[in-house]
Amino acid sequence: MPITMEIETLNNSFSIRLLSLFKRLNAVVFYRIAFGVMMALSIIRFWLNGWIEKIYITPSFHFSYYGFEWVRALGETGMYALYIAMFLSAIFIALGFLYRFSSIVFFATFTYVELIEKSIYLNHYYFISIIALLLCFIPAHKQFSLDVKFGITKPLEIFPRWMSLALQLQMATVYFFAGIAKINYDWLFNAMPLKLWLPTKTNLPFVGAWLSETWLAYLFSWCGMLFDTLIPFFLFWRKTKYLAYAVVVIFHALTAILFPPIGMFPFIMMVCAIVFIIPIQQEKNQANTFSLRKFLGFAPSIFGRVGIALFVLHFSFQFLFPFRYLMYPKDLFWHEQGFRFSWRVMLMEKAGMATFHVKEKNSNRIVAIRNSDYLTQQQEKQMCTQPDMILQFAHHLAWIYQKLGWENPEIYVENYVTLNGEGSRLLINPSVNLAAEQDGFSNKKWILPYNIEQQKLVGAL
Amino acid sequence: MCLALVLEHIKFEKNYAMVLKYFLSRLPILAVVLLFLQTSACKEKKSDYDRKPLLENLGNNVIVPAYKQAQTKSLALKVAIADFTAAPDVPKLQATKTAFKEAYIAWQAVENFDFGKATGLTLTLNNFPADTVRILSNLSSGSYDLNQAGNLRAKGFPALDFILFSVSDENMFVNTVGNFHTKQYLNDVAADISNNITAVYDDWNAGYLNTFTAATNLDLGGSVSILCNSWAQYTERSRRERVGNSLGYVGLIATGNIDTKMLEAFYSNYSKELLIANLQAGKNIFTGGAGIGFDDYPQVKEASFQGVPLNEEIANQYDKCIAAANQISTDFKTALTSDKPKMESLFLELKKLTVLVKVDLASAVGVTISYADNDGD
Repeated sequence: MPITMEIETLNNSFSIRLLSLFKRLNAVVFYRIAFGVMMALSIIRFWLNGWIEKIYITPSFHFSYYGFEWVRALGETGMYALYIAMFLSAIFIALGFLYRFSSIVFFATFTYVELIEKSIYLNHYYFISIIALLLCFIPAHKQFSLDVKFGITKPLEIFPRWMSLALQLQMATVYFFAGIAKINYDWLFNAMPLKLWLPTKTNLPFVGAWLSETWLAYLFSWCGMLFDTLIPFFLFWRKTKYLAYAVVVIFHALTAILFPPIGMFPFIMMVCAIVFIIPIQQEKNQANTFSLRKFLGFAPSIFGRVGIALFVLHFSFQFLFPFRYLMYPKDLFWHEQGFRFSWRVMLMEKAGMATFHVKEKNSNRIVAIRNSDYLTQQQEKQMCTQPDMILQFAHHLAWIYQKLGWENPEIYVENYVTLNGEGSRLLINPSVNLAAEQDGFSNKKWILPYNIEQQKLVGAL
Repeated sequence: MCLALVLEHIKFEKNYAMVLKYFLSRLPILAVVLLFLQTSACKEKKSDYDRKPLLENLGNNVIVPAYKQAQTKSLALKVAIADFTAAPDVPKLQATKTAFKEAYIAWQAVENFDFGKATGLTLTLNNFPADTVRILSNLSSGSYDLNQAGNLRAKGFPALDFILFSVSDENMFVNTVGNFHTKQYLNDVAADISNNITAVYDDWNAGYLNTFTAATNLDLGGSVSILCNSWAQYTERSRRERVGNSLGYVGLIATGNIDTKMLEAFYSNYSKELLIANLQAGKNIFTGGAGIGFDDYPQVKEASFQGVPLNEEIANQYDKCIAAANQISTDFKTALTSDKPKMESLFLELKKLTVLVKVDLASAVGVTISYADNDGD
């Protein structure tokens, strides 16, 4: 008798019920709900900040991604429709309602919107796109969902290991590559750019007063590098995962306080990293033995083999793509070829100004361009330090002047850039007609070397 | 069976509870360490990176005094013009011209502060070259609205420059100033200048100074960011409009087509004095006069330009620009034809100054102009 009483009191206690729910909740299911909620909140924030209009509706020109020039902004109605679809699908993902459909809609709308404008490229948007893609393949709606409740899908007791592993691996990739990107001379031995950034936050309460200390910039630089590189391993390791998760929370809370412009990213990572600490349900009697059948959740058929191939292919790509910078000359931060889609976050302080000139071939006609006539502040700021965007804008100007009746307009730019507090210098060769250059994956020869002496050799100075 | 369930619950709870306890037990230690660091850091370097003293010094000792001077001089100009037009003679004309020069020079010290109530003021009061056709038509018709966009180049200092100085024979000007509506126009333009500057000066005193010094944040709405953006923009303007355009530069490309009419103060020939006054005012923002300026900003000392600390480099560059202007022994109008290489070297120095203020300084100070999330790249 006393035992049953005890159970009753336990069951009535809210915390126990929460704990038991937490325990029964699969990591994948938790992830689905958390992801849906976070996305819905992010979309609301984006909308309320007026960014849909500022970024996608007002500008007359968009910086598209190489190979995705066909992705266009859809005008006011179209953009808001996209965002409404994105918002609803995020909510549906959280609720597990029409999940298969909703996850595809979310992935498609989110990725489409991100591909419209390069000047707001963020690594965490790329991360969200990938997670959304993974969720299209993972049946995360087979527990705690409206789909199960309405009988749209059959519930699943045990989720095969590959599902949570895919989500964990993807997060690990982000941390790991963000970490090894920090293993560079400027970051570790000059504490750049943290030495420039931290002192700008001295008006923060409490921590502010000692952010101006140089040793702190070094400490943060080294800790940041070690944290990013090692945390995935500690999160995977059973014995350290709780401690590692606590460190994740502290680390991201710090970045959220110190660098407010990074927005939702710290919170998304904090919530998503829970996927590492939720106990993984395992089939009884097989707890510690590995079998392919258990890993996949079914015996490896042809279909299963294709699945494995996709899984391996995806993560091979994820692991190799960030290394493409090795195919370009050194000074990656300067020319930024192979910089994006590689989890290089908060790595450098870069600023610049670019003065464009349009010159008609075989005539004296020449004009200087006021960038603000064509670009928003955000677009101009981003463009001034990134060669591929300079080229895109140059092509846009050539197109405009052709429309105005100029014959063979040539575009030249004088583009001064400073990197990590080093003296500004020319980024683009000012004597190269950019209208005649093409974008692509091959090395852009019209980008000048970072080294001033080498610039002199090229004859640019 | 039931017992097993309970035990499992407890075991599960214990796992989490242990982790939680571990951190809670260490919280006080963490707090003590933080508190210690906080207080020790406070003692040593409290003002180092605090932008408040910088803004207070610039507001109280650079900006407001500059507006006070501009306000006084523009009022004096208004009075001189009223005196002259009431009973025109050559001495009064000369007094008016002197008042014009002083007011125009005083204006140069405030042109960099094109924000707050002053937003767009430069476009209104110093939009050169003057639209002489429009001015003549206004003079003859006598009916005009100076606030109309079409009159932006028909008023302000460039308009007075044209009207007062384009007739070089002073006796002839005194005798003809009664024609058309010239007197009325002179008075209206002078009043417009004086009223606009006074309005801004009053606004600074009525509370904008407090707003300015209180906004110590670095982002888009912060005073440092607002000031730096405006200052950089007008530094670039000096290069482009005070020198480049007349030298035949389209942006940064030389066409070789010299056009003296593009000069500031083309008729009075004060172009050189005005540019030097403008550069000195710019340097004053950078050094903060005798007080705290951007050259005291730690990251500006930390950053370097080809081996030279950025704070020294920028101060030097201001001096180089002023020296390059002083190298020109004649006025700019004469120099454009007789001493072109010196004008070219002035242009190059101004170009370098623009890059330093617009790129290196802005980056070192940490001014951000983006309004959306960013990765910090």
